[in-house]
Amino acid sequence: MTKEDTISLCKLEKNQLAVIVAITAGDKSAKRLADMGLTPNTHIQILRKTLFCGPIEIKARESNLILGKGLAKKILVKKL
Amino acid sequence: MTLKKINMALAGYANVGKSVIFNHLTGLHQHIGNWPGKTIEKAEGTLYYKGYTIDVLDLPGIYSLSTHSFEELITREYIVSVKPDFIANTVDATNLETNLILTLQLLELEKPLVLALNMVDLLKRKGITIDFEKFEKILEIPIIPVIATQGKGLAEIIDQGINLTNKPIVPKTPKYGKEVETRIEQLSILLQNIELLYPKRFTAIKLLEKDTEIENLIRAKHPEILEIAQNLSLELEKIHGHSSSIVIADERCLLASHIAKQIRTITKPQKASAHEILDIITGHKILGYPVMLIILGLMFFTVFKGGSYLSSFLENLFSTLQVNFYSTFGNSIYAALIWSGIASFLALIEIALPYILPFYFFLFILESVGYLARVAFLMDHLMHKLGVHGKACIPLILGFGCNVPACLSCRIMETERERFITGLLTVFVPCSAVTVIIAGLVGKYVGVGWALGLYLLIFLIIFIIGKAAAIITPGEPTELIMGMPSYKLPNMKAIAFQTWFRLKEFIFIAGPIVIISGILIEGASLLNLLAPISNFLSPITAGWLGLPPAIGILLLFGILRKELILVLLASILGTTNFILVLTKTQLLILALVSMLYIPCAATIAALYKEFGWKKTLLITFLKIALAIIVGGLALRVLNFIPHLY
Ligand SMILES: Nc1nc2c(ncn2[C@@H]2O[C@H](COP(=O)(O)OP(=O)(O)O)[C@@H](O)[C@H]2O)c(=O)[nH]1
Ligand SMILES: [Mg+2]
Repeated sequence: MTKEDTISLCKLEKNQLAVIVAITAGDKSAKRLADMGLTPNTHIQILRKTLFCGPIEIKARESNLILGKGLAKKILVKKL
Repeated sequence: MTLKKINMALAGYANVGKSVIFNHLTGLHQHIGNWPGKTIEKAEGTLYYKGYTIDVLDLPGIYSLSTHSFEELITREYIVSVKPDFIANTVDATNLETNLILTLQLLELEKPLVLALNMVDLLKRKGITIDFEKFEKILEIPIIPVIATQGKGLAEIIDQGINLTNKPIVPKTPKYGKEVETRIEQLSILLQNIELLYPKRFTAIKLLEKDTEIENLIRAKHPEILEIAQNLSLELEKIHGHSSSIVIADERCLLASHIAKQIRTITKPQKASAHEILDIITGHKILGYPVMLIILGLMFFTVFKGGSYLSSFLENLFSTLQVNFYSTFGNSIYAALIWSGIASFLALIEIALPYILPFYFFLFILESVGYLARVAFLMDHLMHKLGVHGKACIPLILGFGCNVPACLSCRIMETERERFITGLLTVFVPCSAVTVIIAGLVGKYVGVGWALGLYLLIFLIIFIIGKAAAIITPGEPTELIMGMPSYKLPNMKAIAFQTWFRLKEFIFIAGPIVIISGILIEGASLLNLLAPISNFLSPITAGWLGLPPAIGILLLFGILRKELILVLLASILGTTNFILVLTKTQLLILALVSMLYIPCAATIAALYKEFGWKKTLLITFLKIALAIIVGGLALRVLNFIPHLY
């Protein structure tokens, strides 16, 4: 896996499938995401975006989640 | 032994149907209060069933048993310290996998648990089938398919709960991978002879997860165990390259996903349903905004139009009451004081029934349907500019109707910080009474453009305060993270109950202070204190703000109810054609000051309930100071605009 493949969740287009590579948020936010099922290796799909880089709606583990921009930026993913 | 009194708690994610179940079970036998010291709603109720008295508690919606929010802390503390006889973990069957992550943690609390698998009516639409029997075999707890909105499966939940109460079974705790499991065992052995609030295994897991609350509990008495736990966490971190708390969360996710795969099959759902089309439009990145304006606009329009009819009807009704009152009790000072108290309360009812009630009703419908989550999604970006996240727009929207329910709804924010900033911004939102003043003073005599200008000014002020508060208030900003519910038909029964109990709460909170301030002002007027008070205020009202000195009295009455400013202005000036007596500048300044100067009495009561005295005083003084400063500055700016005369 090269560095270039890894991009922020924000950069993905609608409907794109991806897998979470890393979460660069602080321990607290990372834990909050993990508790909701967003851990490294989780497969996600972008469902909805706004005109701005966030919030973003994703599908992960069969459920739909809304993530604010600050969080979305810190989730690094690889396109599938 | 059979118990006749049973304690049951509903726990689960947000939007899984806990409240629908709760309302179905308890009906009118419920009590909505707050958790001690916290501004989080606590809904308790009673159910009489087969000779049992069952106390039902609707725990707040949570996503985990960590301590990201008070809700999570409250839930886990309640379960281990109050020890309900059984917990009904409500699970959204259409979101099984993520919901299971929480179920696994509830199992770790080692209390009798039944799983209410709700919304099974939606499974077909989503192309999901679940093998209930296999599910029960894996988790070894009762699993009950439920359709809360139709009341199906609820009796089984209670029956299973009664069984568990009479013959308590501690559920089997989930087992993780070997690396984690050996470390949990190691810690559990160390914790063996120690008195603990939480179960040993739960404590051990939370120590590995570096849960600060549990760490503090252990640190106080057994610092050596904490040290060992920290070393074990470090080992896990070395192996995985990220925080041990993530390692364990990941283990849970894997297990949940493993279980879900065994019991659930998903076939692609048929063509896009009406729900999905609605979802696409209302949450669309461009279309979503006009649609939102239309929906909210319609809501306000309906509430205000309908409200004004009902309100004037009530006003007529109550004025005959006044005549009857005085003809029965005579015209003494005491009668006047008592009537002022009654009148204040009736005035509150005149707001509560025609406006607050339908407002709550529509809002609960929008919430129940799932629309408010879309609003939070669409507004998140803008709300961030105010230092809070998308959910804060719900209290702010409510604020346009009435600041009281708006303050009370700040509870939906996760942290103390978010709650305070949202509350602070909310009281600056011009409520319906302020709108009436602006329309009556500025819209009518100065021009609609100027009225809109006042709105722009207040939005600018809200923006600046939000920015400032975000910087000054300690703590980190919280990012929006929430489940997006799919669109559902609303459950009218639950909505009716919620509206009714919330309305009651409004009257209970606002009632006392409104009555007391009504009597105080009437007392001051009877003692002829109003003129001295307004003279005392005149350096500010007349000197600095350029208003007639008598306005001071209006501002006093306005604390009670802001629209009194407009009503009483006519009687003080002796005409309803204000422009004959006041200049356009004065009308503008009066409207501006009325908009800013103080939260009304009922709002102060709500602020006190939600934020305590200190913050309430802080917000109140901030508003007074801003009214004086902005009003005075505006006057000096307006004086440069000659055509206003
Ligand atoms: N179709 C369907 N909808 C349900 C069911 N149970 C609850 N709902 C809906 O789900 C939404 C959220 O329910 P609520 O009780 O407020 O969830 P809570 O946040 O867990 O208290 C409401 O719109 C309910 O009408 C069910 O069994 N079937
Ligand atoms: Mg609820």
